[in-house]
Amino acid sequence: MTNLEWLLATTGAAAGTYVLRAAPFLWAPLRRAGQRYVRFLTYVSFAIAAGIVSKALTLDAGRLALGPEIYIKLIGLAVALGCYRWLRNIPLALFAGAGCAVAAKWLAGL
Amino acid sequence: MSGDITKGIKAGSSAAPTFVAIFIGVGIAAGVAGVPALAAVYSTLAVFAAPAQFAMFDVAVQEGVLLQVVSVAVLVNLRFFVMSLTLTNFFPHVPRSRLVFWAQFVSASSYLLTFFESRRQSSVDLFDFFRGVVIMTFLAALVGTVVGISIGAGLPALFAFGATLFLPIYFSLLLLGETKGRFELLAVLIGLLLTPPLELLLPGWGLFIAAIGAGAVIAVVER
Repeated sequence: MTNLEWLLATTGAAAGTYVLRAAPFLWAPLRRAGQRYVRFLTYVSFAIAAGIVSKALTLDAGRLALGPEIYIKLIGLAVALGCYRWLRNIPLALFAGAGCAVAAKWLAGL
Repeated sequence: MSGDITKGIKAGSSAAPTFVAIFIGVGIAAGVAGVPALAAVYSTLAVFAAPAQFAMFDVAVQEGVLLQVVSVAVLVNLRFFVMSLTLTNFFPHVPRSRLVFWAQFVSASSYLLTFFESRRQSSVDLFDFFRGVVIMTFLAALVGTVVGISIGAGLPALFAFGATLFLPIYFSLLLLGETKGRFELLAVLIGLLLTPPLELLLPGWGLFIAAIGAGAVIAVVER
């Protein structure tokens, strides 16, 4: 694609995406729908957060990744959750979990 | 700067390493697809949605036409509609003139972090909080894109691996603290179990379909 085609493609994609993002804020009937289905949207929000977690654990670039790396990720997650239960400090738990996973991957030579 | 924006920036900083890592991937993918550096940065500025940007570059590599590139990006981004629909409940008194600008920055992180903050029933101004998250994550996305373009595929694998773990771990911690009642727990379980297989079946759509399905089923059961 030429530079001009890239400019047009990105501008088109940005415009379409913006409409999706902004329509519920700017169009009153959609705002009302958001209020009406608040419980449904709450469950959707929980499922999205959980889905992001399981996707990151089990998939790699769209493929199933159930090799030794998944155990390392689970170790990191368990350390973070344990740390959070113990200290109630999210940043500390985050760094402890990610740090443990990186250390485990390095030690395993993966 | 208001204290609530600062709270949002702090919350966003936990997601920032993952944003940097993902957008480094965007920068690298752009290089592989032969996308000019400025066009890659422009895509992050204007689209600000890594999955759609990956999809755009992928279609371009397969010599797709312009309309295909635009269509695939917009379809991949359909999830933003549901996210904005949820956010409308948290910004009822914010003038539309302000929302016109800030709507551009709705992402999974800015939406979910604001959603979880809303459940704490604190006196935080959720719109300011949302803007704080956006400031942090958007900057992280820009930095990641520029770094990705600059270093190409030369990023140490161990560093990339660690950085990608921040977001899932962060959301796990939020879910641990915020999930209340059996219906919310059920939504979490459905999201956890159904997203990977659905993503394998319908790449880019699984997360969205699993979440909508969970919401619909539980809303019906709840009645």
